[in-house]
Amino acid sequence: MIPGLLENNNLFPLSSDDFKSIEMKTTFVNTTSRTSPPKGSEHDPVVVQLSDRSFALEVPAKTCAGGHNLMITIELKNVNREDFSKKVRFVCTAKVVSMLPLPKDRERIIVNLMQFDEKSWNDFREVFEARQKEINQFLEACKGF
Amino acid sequence: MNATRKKEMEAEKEFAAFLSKKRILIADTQAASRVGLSRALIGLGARANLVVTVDSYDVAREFLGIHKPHIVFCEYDLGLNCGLQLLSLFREARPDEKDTLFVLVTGNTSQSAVAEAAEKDVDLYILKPYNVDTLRHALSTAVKDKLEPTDYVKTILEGKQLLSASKPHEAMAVFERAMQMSPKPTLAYYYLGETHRVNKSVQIAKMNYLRGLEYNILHYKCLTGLYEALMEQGQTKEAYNVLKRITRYFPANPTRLSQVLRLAVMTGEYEDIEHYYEQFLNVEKKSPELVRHICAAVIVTAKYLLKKGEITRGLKLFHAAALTAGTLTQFLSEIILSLVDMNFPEEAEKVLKRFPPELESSRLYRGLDLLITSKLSSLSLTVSKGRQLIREGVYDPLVFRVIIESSARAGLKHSAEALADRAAKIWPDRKMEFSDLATQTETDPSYVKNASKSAE
Repeated sequence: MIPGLLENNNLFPLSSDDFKSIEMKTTFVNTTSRTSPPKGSEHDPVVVQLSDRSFALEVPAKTCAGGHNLMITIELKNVNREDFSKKVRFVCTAKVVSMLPLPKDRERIIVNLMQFDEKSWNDFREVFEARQKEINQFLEACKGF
Repeated sequence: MNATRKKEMEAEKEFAAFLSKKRILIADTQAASRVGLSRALIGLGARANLVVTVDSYDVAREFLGIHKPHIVFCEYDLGLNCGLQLLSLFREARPDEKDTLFVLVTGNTSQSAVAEAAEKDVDLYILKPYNVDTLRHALSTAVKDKLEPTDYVKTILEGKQLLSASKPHEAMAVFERAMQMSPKPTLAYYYLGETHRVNKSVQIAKMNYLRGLEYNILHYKCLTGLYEALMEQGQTKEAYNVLKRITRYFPANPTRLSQVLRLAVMTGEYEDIEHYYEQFLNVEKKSPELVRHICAAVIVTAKYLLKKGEITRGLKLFHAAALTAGTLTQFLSEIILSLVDMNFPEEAEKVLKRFPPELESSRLYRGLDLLITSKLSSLSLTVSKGRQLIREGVYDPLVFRVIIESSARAGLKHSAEALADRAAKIWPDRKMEFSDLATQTETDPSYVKNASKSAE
């Protein structure tokens, strides 16, 4: 018999932490054209895909071109479910290697990392990898296969 | 090339062959995500003309109904809708689960979203931003598990078919065989439990769910099976404790929250309700049913706390309930009546101000206003106001109750009795109530003395 399963327990389904999601804020400066995207959350770049030494972003149209260098800052909040105050920051210089126009004045770009701190990069990727692992384990446990 | 690499390449080929025959739907409001995923899947073997991307829930739903894709990738957050709402439509369109997949690809990492996905039994939950290799590995593993299930899973599926075909005894034998095939046979115990429940052996069903949970306390089906068995047996306190555990692991399911509230009130666990209210505040999509349940539960708890002498907490909860009730006047009315009954007319007055302006001429509002007046103002004002309401034809039982009682307290016995007779004609089933108010309410001596002095 599992202790506390049928008896009164101190479990309360009330943690507002359960509703917190990792928040990612990405900004960049185009060091080649010396411009930045317009301000406002609707213009914020969004990281959509990661690789070993590159990543894909959705950005406002006409903020960069192929071959341009960008200084990208990515800040993550709510990265750790044990301690939601922890944050992760990743800064890099990256070169635009591919561009694809999208609807609604957006573009999908792929950037290769040029200058960055290896540890910061690993910490950044680890946030999502660790959470993905937790999620996989949770789903497996719930299904019980 | 070594054997492992050879095996990996064969697996990749099989996975590519699998994908190439499937119609795939990608639903995401973010264009870059749609494009990226589409490219990734084509790179893994999907045929470009069989991959469709849509940017809204409504278009996705329509596509599902018409074209019945084999694989759906969707974002959890699809504007005003949740991607998970597509899952039930998908299962209807493709009831044979063997070669289908429903995959959430989302930036939502919250435990509530993950738990909801687990409850609804999605095949995969992939976080954005993802790595294509990770995506490939996750997909190919999920496909392999479906196409080449383990002996344990095959046996469970065999048992399930027998259970669906109303062959419980044969099903039981199969599930018992399955138990020998896994070091953690929680699912086998669950289905054995279900088979016993179908056979009306609820106690044995319960024991099986419990056994299953010993291997895996998070097993959603065993937890819900156990909860239902306990409810069937009338063991509401134990059922409530199990339900709390379910709601802790799988938070923010509005239906479940309603059940928890109901059970908390039934078992007298009022203090838990304050915690549930906090959780309710975090629920994004508050159904009208949930709002009603939370209001009712919070009001009951507020009354309990006031009776216990916990004034600050009780009043805070009453006001929280009033805020949550919004324009649900039946709850606002209940709160006002309770506050007046418990001697907090000033607090009742604050709640009365929450009535929508367009309802201030309603009988309900005017009756409640009169009731509060009777507690906060002089008897003469109450009687005068009440008479005015009756002249205006505001015939509400509460109005009559207040004016009958106020008249009796003012020493105006004849007037009180006449009003009681009049009220009884309109509401004959409440005749005794009105008559008692007229005859048994004690006169307020200070009012009568002052009234006499004025007369002199």
